[in-house]
Amino acid sequence: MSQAVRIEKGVARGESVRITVDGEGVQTYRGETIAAAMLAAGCRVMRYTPRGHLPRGLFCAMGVCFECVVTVDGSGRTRSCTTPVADGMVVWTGRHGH
Amino acid sequence: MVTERAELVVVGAGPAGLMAAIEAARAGVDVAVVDENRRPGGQIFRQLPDDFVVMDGARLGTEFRNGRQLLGELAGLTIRFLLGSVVWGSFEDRVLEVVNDDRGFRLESEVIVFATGAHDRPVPLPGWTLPGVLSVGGAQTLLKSQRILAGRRFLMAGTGPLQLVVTSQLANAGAEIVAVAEAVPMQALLRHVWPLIQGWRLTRDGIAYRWNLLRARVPWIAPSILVRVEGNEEVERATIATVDANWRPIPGTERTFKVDTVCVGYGLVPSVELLRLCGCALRYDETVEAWLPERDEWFETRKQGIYAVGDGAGIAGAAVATEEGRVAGLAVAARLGRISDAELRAAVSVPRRRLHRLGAFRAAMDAIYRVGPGLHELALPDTVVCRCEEVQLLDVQAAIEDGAVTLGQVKAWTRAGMGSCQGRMCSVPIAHLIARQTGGTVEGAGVHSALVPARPVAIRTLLADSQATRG
Repeated sequence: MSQAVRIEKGVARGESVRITVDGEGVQTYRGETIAAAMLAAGCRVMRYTPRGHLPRGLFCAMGVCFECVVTVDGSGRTRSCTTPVADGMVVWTGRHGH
Repeated sequence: MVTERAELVVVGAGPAGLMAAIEAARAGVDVAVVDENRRPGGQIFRQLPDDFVVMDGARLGTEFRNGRQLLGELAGLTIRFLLGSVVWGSFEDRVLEVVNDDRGFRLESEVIVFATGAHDRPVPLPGWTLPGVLSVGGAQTLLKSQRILAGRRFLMAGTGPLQLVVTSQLANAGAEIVAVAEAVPMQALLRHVWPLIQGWRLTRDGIAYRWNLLRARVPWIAPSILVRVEGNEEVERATIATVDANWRPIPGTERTFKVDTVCVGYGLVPSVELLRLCGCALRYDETVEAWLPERDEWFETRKQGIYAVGDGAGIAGAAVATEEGRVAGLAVAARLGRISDAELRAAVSVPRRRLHRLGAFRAAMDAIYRVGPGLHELALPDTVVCRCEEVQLLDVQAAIEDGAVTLGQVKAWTRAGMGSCQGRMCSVPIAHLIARQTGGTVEGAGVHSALVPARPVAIRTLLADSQATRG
């Protein structure tokens, strides 16, 4: 599992926010996207494909490819790369069949 | 459904769109700018979220500063920004269908300027769907707009200026870059010395980036391309190979690196879906391997009142995009009677001179970094070609074997191109497969028919609108 790195120098992030990803608490900051929060928490798999059940993650990071879609607060097909986090957000990747 | 109106609607708030909006608004045109992102700037001038506070702008690089400067020009102008808004369709001339979060509305205008930008050229190869493989533009977006490094150990694989810039930015931000696999050898630049001198400011930037990587001792391996990525659940290894002049791997030259992140960047493809949806004529350009809108000297498409500027109309970078936007914005102001023809001619002389100078540089870049045929031959039979619908190379080959000769036929027979991305990821590679297997041309494989919605829209949003209209 590889963790993305938050660059601390030169920028101060927004206030601290908590979301859950597949039931686990994830520390994030206001202004971050769901994808950024997940990557920084070491969660690179954003979904599993419906047919082959193969892992997929962030690819274009600009809302074009739809590879990083997750289920957010019960609503499916949300692009994690363009959607900002909100306090208490509940995110599922489909890892456990959700 | 709610209808909003503006004299000029600009789609896309990158450098091209913003400059068109600024010039038109300065002349007194009523302008609305629509963009999918929540902040203006587009991909190149991606700004940090409002919640982030910049302590040291110098660390964020020249693009950040240029972006701030361009956004500064908006001060004092009345331009309506419809951000976080997605254009998903158009059913009448110069009327766009838009959704903003859960609210749908129609946007009517006299003139539309499309400045929709570009996305990285998708290249199917074994392992390209593994988490940890990102487009180079994606890695840059994460860095610029979120200040996040996508991983720890990077392999960069691609070609051209964008890869150079992003590698340099990642290295400066502290990423470990194990190697850069550049498909084009340095000697190729020597054949185009004069245009490189003509575009000296850009050439100088390129040299500075390259020098930066030399100082950071980042291994630069050219000419080589990425041939496969491997790993269980995510990236663990990536393999590159030396290539010949046609970008075909030379046997026995493979090198494997242990990495957790691979950035792939073999050029950009203009996002022309909305132009097609609006009925603008396109032509296939062999050199840049992309469909581009036909435009006149004012960047108006063949469809009256619809303009196309910036990378969404032909990959040329931010400097060209800015000047094209300026010319189109002024042309719109003249068209709507806010400036005279004489004023228009005077105002465009400087931008046109700049475009002429940048044009020579651009043509040299296109020639130097022209994609070789080997890039389209990397997929193996079980490689996924259509990411959305999980269609493999062998499925597509079977369809072509059975007689499919167009993208539309392959889509109907295999579902490739039917998913959420609307074929943005698979249409380019499949067109090449058809051309190769049938002995035809990429142009002959055609394009996916332009369908609504251009981006997924929730049915509940459309239902809510129709009920509101009826109620």
